[in-house]
Amino acid sequence: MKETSIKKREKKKVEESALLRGMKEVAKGKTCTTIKRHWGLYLMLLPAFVLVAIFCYAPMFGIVIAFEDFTLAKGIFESEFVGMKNFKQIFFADTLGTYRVFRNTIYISIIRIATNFPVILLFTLLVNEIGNRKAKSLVQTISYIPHFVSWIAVGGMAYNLLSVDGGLLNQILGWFGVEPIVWYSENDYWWAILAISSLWKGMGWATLIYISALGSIDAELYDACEIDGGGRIRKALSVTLPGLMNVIALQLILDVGSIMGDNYIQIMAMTNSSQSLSESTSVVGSLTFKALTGAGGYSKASAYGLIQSVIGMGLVLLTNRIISKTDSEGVL
Amino acid sequence: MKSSGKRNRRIFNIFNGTIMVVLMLIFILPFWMIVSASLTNNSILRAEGMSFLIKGFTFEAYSFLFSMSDLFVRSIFLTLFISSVTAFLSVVVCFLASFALCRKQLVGRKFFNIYLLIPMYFGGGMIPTYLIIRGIGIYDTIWAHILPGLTSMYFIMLLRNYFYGLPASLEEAARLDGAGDFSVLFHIFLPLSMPMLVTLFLMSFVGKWNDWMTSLLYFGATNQKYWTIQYVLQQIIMDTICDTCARKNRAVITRVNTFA
Repeated sequence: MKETSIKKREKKKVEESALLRGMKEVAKGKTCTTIKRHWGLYLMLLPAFVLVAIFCYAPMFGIVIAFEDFTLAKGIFESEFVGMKNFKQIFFADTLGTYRVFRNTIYISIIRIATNFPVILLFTLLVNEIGNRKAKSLVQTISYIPHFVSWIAVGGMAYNLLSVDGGLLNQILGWFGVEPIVWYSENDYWWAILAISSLWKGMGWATLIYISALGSIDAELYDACEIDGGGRIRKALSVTLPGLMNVIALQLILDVGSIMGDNYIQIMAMTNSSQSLSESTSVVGSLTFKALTGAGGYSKASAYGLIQSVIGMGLVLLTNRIISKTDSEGVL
Repeated sequence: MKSSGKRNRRIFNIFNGTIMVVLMLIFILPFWMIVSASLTNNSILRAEGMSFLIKGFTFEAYSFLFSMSDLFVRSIFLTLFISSVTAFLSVVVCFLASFALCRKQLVGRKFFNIYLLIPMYFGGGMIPTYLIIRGIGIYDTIWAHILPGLTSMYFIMLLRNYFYGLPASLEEAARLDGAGDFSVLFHIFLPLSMPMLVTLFLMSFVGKWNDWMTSLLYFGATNQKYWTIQYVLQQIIMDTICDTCARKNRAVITRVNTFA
């Protein structure tokens, strides 16, 4: 612990001195000549700068359409400006739909985080306990595989598992005399299915961040714990877990920040935007999608998106503040 | 005391090992199921449903897939091409940008940092982005696949942190020898960060390979020429789920997943 803090301080010092030197150089050598001498740097920045301007900043101004009665034919500038009309409609006229969309978005995220987070942590601890080095790396490698599979493929796999005629799950249920369940039209199960599939896909990859943090835990602490008669479980609880606390806090806070974000890619890939499942799986993203793929209603979908972005950004900033308050190693 | 501790450890090891084996099976079996279904005879698949065993071995599904039209094969090559180009350009753009951002000689460094940071917090959303893509005229062209995702703040941050970890003396020595920005970049930073760049390339490649939104959003519904593999898959799966007659496709879909 101490070592890392010293290292951190040193690093800060180095950075500071570098910055200071840079500033001195700028002050001394007159800004213009510095810029002229290092024109190459600006050339290097140029591609990123331009791309970000086009694909990140320009769309931000495009948000205007949330306040317009936008049609593709008229374009952003010609469309009629209607002020808060779209938002009024969302909150007052379309209350039920709005409620459903935001409820789904938030519930799906919360269920996902609440179930995935502890399981991932437990998995990390158990992987860490595997004595055999080869077995350990084999387990890790296998657990990474699902991360590299697209949601489309996961959707196909889920279909193998869940389909009514011949799906594996229904076959297994059949052995116990349970009638086949039409998973693709049962709204009740989908929050769970989404959470489980997220876990399956992301579990191994998510351990990466913890496992890399494990490396920085002082080995002496384990020895000390062993001398005191601590077994494996004791060690895991008293050394490993506290050692991971920083990363755990950070991860949890980041997760909280992502509550407003909907994983509509996953939802669309797994449900094919099925109408019969929309009660439980329609989220803000799916509305936007619907608008873009033909249904129209750009303005309203943008308005939904804007609400989502603003709340999401608020959560991120809030959690960021919490990070800097608690002084864990924030990355933001 | 000691022997009981040993026994406890033994029990724990067995317990842990069992959990791990079960988990690994859960990770792997879906893949196996795809392989077995794709090699199983269709009529058997229809009659008995999914199974872990291969019954009535046949390559039927594969030959169907490749004879379906050239859509499938072409989309594979197209996606390979797009993914490599995007991954390469993305690494180049991010590498250059993060190098420049790390140099203290860069006037306005703070501004550029913040400029690149803001999009991490706030974005315009899908619809405005879509309109921009249309507006700058890359809708329905291959550039719509490549350009939008090129600058990744995440990559830039990773690279920046990595650069800070490199010894500063190397650069200073080179500067004393009269090296300019570009020679420092190419002769010192490029070789040193090769492993990192390769990792980023792979991450970007996989990300692009698995991307299907782009094909859906930025290409006209009939423009099959630019469909990437994942989108083609999705279309096939969709057909299967909607149309119960197209049961043949069931083995097909399942199979294609292996490519991902």
